[in-house]
Amino acid sequence: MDQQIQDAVAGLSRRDGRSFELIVRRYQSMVFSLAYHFSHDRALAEDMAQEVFLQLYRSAHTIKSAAHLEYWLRRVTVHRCIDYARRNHAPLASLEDHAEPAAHSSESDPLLSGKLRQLVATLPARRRMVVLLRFQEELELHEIAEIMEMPINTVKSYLQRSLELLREKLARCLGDVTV
Amino acid sequence: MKPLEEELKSALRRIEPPDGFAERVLAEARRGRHSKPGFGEWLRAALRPRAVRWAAGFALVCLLVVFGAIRRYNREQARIQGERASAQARLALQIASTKLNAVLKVAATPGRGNLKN
Repeated sequence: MDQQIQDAVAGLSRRDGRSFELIVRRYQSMVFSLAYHFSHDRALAEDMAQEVFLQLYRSAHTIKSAAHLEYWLRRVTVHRCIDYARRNHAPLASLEDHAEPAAHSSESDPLLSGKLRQLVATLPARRRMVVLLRFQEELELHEIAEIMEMPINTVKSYLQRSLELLREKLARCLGDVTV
Repeated sequence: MKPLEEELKSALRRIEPPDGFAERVLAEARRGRHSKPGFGEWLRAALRPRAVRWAAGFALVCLLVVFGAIRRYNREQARIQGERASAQARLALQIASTKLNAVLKVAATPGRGNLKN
């Protein structure tokens, strides 16, 4: 964690606008991506991400360090997404209608990536979030367990079952291709 | 094809929010327009930790047990009072019947029970 963010965290507790701006710019893609990959709705993801940062602004005094800030942002985003899904029974928008944001590596197949994102969006809310934390944020299982407040064995089984489901669905979508 | 895990990492890579996102957040924070969390949000946040959820559930179960016990006690008391009242009524009827029988017996004895007198 770089010194700049450490200083920004210290500034945040004093409600320093510049510190807050630095934090927003630094973590906006993390928060927005979690919300977007979860909801598959850009407008909704933007609203959720905005609410997360405003909540951070209100709770600035509770942030102790840069590591805590990152943990806090992930945790609040995760719970906002899951609360949203619970309240709305997660009616997924028509996945075909959404244009996928660009920014794929040249190595990956854009068609396959798009299909995978669509399939991830069909997973139940908590499993979807476990998959996002594992593959978007590349967190360890114990970190996911801590953020999602669930036993590590549940995280393992959610992940295993989600991967099996994704494999099955992907094979069905793409024909009998080994993935 | 890469393994599924690798494909997922690639598919779920971070993306940038729409242009002007940070500016909108900063403007909103400066305006201080963000409302305080409502009661629903507060309650959800308060009940989020697993221990609190368990404690709330346990308290609710305890409350239901206590209410159930009070209701049962009240019903039992009402039943006991009803039985007591019914026993008293039976006793009163028995006494009245005994007295009436005695009067009728006296009345039926020749020479003693001249009801006309």
